[in-house]
Amino acid sequence: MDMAKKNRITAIVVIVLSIFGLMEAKSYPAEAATYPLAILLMAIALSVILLVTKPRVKTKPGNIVYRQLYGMIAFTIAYYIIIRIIGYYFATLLYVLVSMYFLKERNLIVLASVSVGFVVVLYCVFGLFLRVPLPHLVLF
Amino acid sequence: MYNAIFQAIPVVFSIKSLLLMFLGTGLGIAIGAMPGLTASMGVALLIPLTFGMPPAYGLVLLGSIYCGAIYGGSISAILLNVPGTPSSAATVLDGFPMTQRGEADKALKISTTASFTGGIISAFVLLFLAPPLARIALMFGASEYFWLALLGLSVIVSLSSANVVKGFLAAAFGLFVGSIGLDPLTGVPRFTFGVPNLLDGVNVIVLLIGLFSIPQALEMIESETVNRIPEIVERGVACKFRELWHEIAHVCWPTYIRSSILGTFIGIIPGTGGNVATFLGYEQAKRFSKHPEKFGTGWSEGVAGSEAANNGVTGGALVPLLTLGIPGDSVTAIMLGGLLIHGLQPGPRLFVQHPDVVYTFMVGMVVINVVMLIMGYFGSYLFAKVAKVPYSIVGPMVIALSVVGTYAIKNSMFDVGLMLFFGFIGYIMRKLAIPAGPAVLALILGPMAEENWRRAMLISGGEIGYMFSGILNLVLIVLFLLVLGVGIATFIKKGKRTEEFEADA
Amino acid sequence: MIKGGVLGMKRLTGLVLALMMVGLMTLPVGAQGYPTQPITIIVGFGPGGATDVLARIVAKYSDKYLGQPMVINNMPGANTEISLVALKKAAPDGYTLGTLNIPHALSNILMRQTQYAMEDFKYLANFVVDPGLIGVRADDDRFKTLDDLIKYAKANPGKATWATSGIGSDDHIAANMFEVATGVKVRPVPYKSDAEIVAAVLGGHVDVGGFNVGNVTEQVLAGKIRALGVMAEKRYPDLPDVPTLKEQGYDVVSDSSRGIVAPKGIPDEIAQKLGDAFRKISQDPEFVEDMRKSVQPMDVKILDEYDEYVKVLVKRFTDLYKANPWGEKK
Repeated sequence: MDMAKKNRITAIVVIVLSIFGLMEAKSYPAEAATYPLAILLMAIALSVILLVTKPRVKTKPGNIVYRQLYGMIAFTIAYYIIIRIIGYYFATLLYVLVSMYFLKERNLIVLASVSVGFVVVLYCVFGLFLRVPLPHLVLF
Repeated sequence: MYNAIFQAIPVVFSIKSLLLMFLGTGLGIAIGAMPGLTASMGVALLIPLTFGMPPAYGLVLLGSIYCGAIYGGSISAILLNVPGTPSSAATVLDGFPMTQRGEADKALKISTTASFTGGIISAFVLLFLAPPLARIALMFGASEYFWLALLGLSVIVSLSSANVVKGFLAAAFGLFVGSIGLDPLTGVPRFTFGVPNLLDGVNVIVLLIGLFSIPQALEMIESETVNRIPEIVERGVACKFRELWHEIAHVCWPTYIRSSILGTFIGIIPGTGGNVATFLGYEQAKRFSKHPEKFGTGWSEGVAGSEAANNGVTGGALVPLLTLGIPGDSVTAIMLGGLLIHGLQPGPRLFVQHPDVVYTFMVGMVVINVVMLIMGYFGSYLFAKVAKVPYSIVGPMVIALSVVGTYAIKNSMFDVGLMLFFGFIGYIMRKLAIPAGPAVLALILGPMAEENWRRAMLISGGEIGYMFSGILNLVLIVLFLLVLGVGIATFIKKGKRTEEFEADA
Repeated sequence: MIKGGVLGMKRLTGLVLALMMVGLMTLPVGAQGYPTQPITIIVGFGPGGATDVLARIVAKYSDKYLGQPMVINNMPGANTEISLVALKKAAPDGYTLGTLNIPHALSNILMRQTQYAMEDFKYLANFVVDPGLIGVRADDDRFKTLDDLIKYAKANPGKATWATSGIGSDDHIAANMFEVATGVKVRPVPYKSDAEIVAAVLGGHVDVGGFNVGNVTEQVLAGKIRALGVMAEKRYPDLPDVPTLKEQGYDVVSDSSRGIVAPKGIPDEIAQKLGDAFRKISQDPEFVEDMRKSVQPMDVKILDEYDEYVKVLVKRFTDLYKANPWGEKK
């Protein structure tokens, strides 16, 4: 997808969302509504400019490995969900371990020491030292 | 006064005090360097540590954490393109490009020395000029804050030099996110859609981490070279003292001084702190530099401008806190609570009732900055090695740290989810070459501008003249117009010359 | 994967039972042994604020009077709604408590839809009642007494700017009450925190500050702010020269109260234990001194006393809102 197309899509998406925003903001009392309305109108105006101007672009070589990208996004979402189920520390351990493996790290020593070490340091810092009550399992 | 200072010196240089300084600064640097953890958080969470201690030592410890954390934010900003604290948001602009050119060590050393300069100048200002400067702090009313916010926002023109339209779109986004929550002047919820967690609006850290950390981590993760060491960085050279000295003496030192003073003043103004100073410091460095076109490509003045200003805030913010009991920024607001817990009432009588504690703390701030310089300078070689870790390891860790850091703000998983959402948006913004800086800046300053305009109208009964009354207002307006004017002029001059570079996706 | 045969099954069952026992042991025991674990207090404001400071001071004495430490969990947001909702959802076993601020908790309910109600909690102990205080800049010669202010407001209705810490805050309510009692109209100007009010008044940006005793006593004693009146039943001991509004002829009592509550459904024995412990803490002379030094005016009400107090406050604020509402109801 080249930049011109990206710009056009962006502009249209922003305009649509801004219109929704305008409809919501209209229901606010006048004093509170002025600022959001101004912002949204500005966004629409900018999008229109974006729509009609030519992008000044040079493409840069750089390949995205989509498998890695989508995989990590999926893992991250799973991580977020799992934290509340098995607690932050176990979830992080799993997440870091699985992610590194997924990203082609195969050295067992590195995999084990980094994931465990990282979580241990986190525990020392947040659990013992700062005493931030992180989501935790009943048993731990 | 001098009597009190002399009496404080032996306490400040006692073994216990020095140990606390090293401990505190080290902790502070570590906290600041971790994306997601901020100086406020560090100070807040470590107040209980100070319970067993006499208040003077407790304050010294908290002060070291403060200075260390504000400096520490630059470490991840330079090495990973992720600001460790909001106060280093502008440091990424030139810090990371320097790392990409193998100059990580140099960037870190510039940051250390600049932070030191900012910190020590503001510490001396605090020590000798606090009472008269406190009066300036009080001069800021609603109209002054409005113009100050506009002045800060005008920096956006400079931050979006590549493509003004996209920069302003990012700013619009930031302004919009800033309007989410309960309207401060009427109590009406805006864009909260019934979600109570949004009633207080979106925390700047949530947006900052979302727009900077996550996209950076994803870009690391998606690359082909994910588990190999970044090549250019591999060749990174350690920066020798001679080279550093040359850079400072011939290029950076005016920026060091100017940014430090700027940062000190921003700190003195109640309610504004490092997150504003970093942008304004960067901006003024660019404004007065002999090579403004080099900014953004990895130019040491950019790092210096941002870092001297944000550490300049430390001493400045303590001025209104210690003289009037009014905190100068968010970290000192927490220190106020710390003072209360130790049984010290912050206010005009603090100096009179507890001169020993106050002066020990102020003299201590001077020494703390020296400690920070030592630790930062000699630690930089070690820190720089972080840049050599393969992305397959750093990427997931940055995300995990971002999660815990965001959670720790308000102990809220909702914030974490919101941050990840912004991360997704931030990634798309990167692919669209929409800069993230203006969004963060707008989030911080937009609400300040709107709130204060309306408050000023409320106070004056709708008289526009109020906005222009008084010297301070006029000074700020002139500054605002200057910055804006120069920004526009530069933009027109550059014309169609700039190009965006983009990976095809 | 279960090894075949009776032996295998027995082993597995034994293992499961053992795990269950271990699991049960980590669960809080009933009132008999209470407390056997640290207690968490969910604080509705961020670290450094007055409510946070109160919670930390109380926590300091927890080991001594309850035998277990207290852990502070700050969950600021939505004018204490976030922390109250979290508390409401917590298990009512006595191991999760929370701070309650009135009028903040009430104000939310009056002004908008909330996800909690005052009936969702068991009221354990109120520690602080921080009365409102009307203050002006010390060198502002226009207002040497409260009557000066009232005269000015009568002559210039709606012109006197009165700084508050937000729409629906105790300061704003105090201003409303003042208007009702004196018959004058002022102009409330909302700020975001008490520190901002101090700055606004000292800097001469507003005429009057709607303070609480807790955040302005230092300034008054230092001579920077002149206190025109305190909105309490009695004068504040550390400010003996400041008359109450009642003394001056105006029935205005407005304050900010801070206490500790538990989720509804907490067993009575545990509630009683906590109430007794809090009473003892409040009578400990060191505690009293800590509170005095951090300027938290104490007015302790335990269990039933607190229930009664809350009922009084609910009526007071609901009536006031009907007479002179603040903010806009969405």
